[in-house]
Amino acid sequence: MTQALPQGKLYESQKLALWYFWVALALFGAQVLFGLLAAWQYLDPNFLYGKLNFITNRMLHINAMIVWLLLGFMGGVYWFLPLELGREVVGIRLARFAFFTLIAAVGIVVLVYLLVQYGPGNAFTLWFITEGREYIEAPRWADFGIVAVMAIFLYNVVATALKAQRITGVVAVLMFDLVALAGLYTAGMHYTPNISMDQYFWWWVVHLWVEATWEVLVGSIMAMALMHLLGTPRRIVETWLYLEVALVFGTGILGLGHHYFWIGTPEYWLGLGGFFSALEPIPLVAMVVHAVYDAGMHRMQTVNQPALFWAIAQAFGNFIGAGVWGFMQTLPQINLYSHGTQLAPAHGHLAFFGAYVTAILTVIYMALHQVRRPELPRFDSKLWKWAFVLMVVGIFGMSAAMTIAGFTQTMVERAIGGSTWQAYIDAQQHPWFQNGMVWRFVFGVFFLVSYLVLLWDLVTIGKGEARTAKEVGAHD
Amino acid sequence: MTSEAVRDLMLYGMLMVSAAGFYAMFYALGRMLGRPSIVTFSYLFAALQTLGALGMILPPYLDAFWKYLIAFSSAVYLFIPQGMWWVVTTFHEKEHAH
Repeated sequence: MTQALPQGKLYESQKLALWYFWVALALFGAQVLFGLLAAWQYLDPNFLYGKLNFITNRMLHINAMIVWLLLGFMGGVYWFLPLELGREVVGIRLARFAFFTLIAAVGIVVLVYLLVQYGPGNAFTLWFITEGREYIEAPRWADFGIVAVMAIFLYNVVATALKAQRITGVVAVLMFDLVALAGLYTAGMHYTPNISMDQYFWWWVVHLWVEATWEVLVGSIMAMALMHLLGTPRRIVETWLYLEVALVFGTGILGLGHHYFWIGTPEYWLGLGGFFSALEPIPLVAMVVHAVYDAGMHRMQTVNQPALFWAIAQAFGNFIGAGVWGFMQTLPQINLYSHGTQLAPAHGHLAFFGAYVTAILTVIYMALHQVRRPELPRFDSKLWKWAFVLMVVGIFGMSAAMTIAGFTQTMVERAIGGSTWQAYIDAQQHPWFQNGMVWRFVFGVFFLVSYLVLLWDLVTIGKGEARTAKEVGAHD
Repeated sequence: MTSEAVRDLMLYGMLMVSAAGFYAMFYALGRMLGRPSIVTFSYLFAALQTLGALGMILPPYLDAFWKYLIAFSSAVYLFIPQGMWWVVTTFHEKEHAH
């Protein structure tokens, strides 16, 4: 039984999605801010030393990113799910409860990071301050909270599909993916004093989340977005989604092995990881063809220009960030020298931005169109173009600066110097490295400005527009 | 491995995959716009992609396994644009026919 809403009305789930989006955007700002502080501390290590240390800024920078992207994904699903299934989400009260619980937990964790920062390294620290695992530093109580919230999220998707008696291809993929998303996170909660074993499972969260479950999740969200944005037929979107799942899982899961090279795992991981990692850019190159086709078929025109541009940026950004920058350092023969240098964050910045930030911004612009002025034939502003260009230039500038710095580290510190302490110091003092860090900060400021422009555009877009379709002369 | 070898492998790897992307983009653009000149232009990037692969394969830096892997990837990249173009247009044509 479907419950279609009148034009211009929103499902409760969509109203909740808007909350997710705004909190996600606020955390996006926090990510940029703490990243900028950390970037400055590369130039002046004494800056805020003892008050807000580099390690804390970096931790907040990375964890804010993970949380805001997750919130954005969840918002995207809550936005499209009722449209996909033709009915309200079943556990909407539960969803609201989960939202506020998650926000409260994030707030407490951030306050602990800021005020306490670190502990004696015992069980208390593990449970209440930080687990100390890079990228997933949340204390254990928060880990359980994250898994519980993801379980509620999964329940809502499954229960809504069952209640609607309609499981589309996109929703089916989404359900399976959410099981993996919630399940894999628990792999990062096991504690073992064996560092190899610890790292082995830790990578399941860091890598399999990002390169498998997140890729599929964003694929599902973009599939639903493209149907609404470009009117792409469901059959095409779902076929593409299945293809993407096959290719991404096929290369992404065992591609995990490229992180296993240096943690003491058996030697076969070297071949397995290298093989699948080398194949990872292939589906991304294929997606470029489809993006060009879609953009060309619609002559870069749609009712929602910003959403279209961010969607196209998603296909290209994913290829450049994950494909080009990933492949450049994925072969073990290179990775031996480049692992842990600034090349890694260069790849990370481009890949996360290209694959995920762009996708979430696509969905947010679509949601704002529906909320602000669904009757408008063109959801447009002058500001979004500035935000788009500045943000793309900012992320590429930062990544280019980090690439040069990382290349210097790879050459001077590792390949020439042999990773000695003196070689480390030589690389840190090399002008290419130091200039790279300066330009990283400059483009970081640039990115902060672009974020503010984007935020202002998101707050104002569509609000002042009063023209009707007839006045604009649209033919859509 | 020498520092020159690391440098060469990194740069040739970057050339290989980025040229593969440009090849795919210009090929699809040429077919989309019906401009054979752009399609021909895209083959320049196909050649660059092959050059990138050769730059990794020909020097004695890598073992046979890795050389075969790169040769295989490079060969796949050469046919991705045509293959994906066929897939995309076939999907859409079938959809329009319904």
